[in-house]
Amino acid sequence: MYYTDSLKLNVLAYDFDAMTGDITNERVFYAQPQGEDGEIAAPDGHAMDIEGCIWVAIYGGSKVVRISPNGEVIAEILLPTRNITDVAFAGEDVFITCATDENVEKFPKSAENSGNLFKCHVGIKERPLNKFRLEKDKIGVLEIDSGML
Amino acid sequence: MDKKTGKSKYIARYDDDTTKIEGQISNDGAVDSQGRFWVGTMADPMDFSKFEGIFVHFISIEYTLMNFKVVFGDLIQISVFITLSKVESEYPMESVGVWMTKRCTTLIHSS
Repeated sequence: MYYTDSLKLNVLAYDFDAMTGDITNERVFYAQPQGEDGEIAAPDGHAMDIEGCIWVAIYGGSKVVRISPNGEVIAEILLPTRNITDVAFAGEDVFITCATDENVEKFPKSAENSGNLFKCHVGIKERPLNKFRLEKDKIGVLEIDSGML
Repeated sequence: MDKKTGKSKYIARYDDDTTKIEGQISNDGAVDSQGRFWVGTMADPMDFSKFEGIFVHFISIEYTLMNFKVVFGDLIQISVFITLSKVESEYPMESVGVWMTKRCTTLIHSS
């Protein structure tokens, strides 16, 4: 299992027991270095391709990095804005989202491009996602209390 | 959700009697090979009253039991609290909210 803790600036990995659901052996899979501009950069959303590599959006880092199962950065997509938030596959393309860059004075070009949606051809597909299974008789166990909404 | 009536029901809650997780909102999640949904939560950036002692729980919703299982909750609680304290000292309060909305993504991939 991969777990991104943006505030710790890293992606953690765990051994995962599919039958019990237990996760053990926590270790740092990827540690995000400080940005070249001296600003803090943090890993954010990610997606996994069919070769088992994860594509991680780097918030504050103006890029998406492709990380191999060994934890090495083997490719990157550079973007004209800093605060990259997530990456999603569509066929052999990825769509990349970003957040506002409020530091207009220091990064005017990034601020100008922030909020845009980017598309990049990467030539590889996403690893198929698992489907959620819910026992039918469990659906609706908890009724919404309208008074709480 | 019932698509015809628009009426919806909870399948699980963070703040029930067994979990008692308050001031947290869902951030990101994924489904494992057994059909469990795992979700990372974060402090509600709109709920500033919960900023003191803020923490993150790591939760799986077991589809068989339909209740919450907290895994490594304490471990992550400690580490995130330390990091947040650092962020708070380096950034003005209003920007902490932005950082909080950026925290924690969970994805599971297993064959």
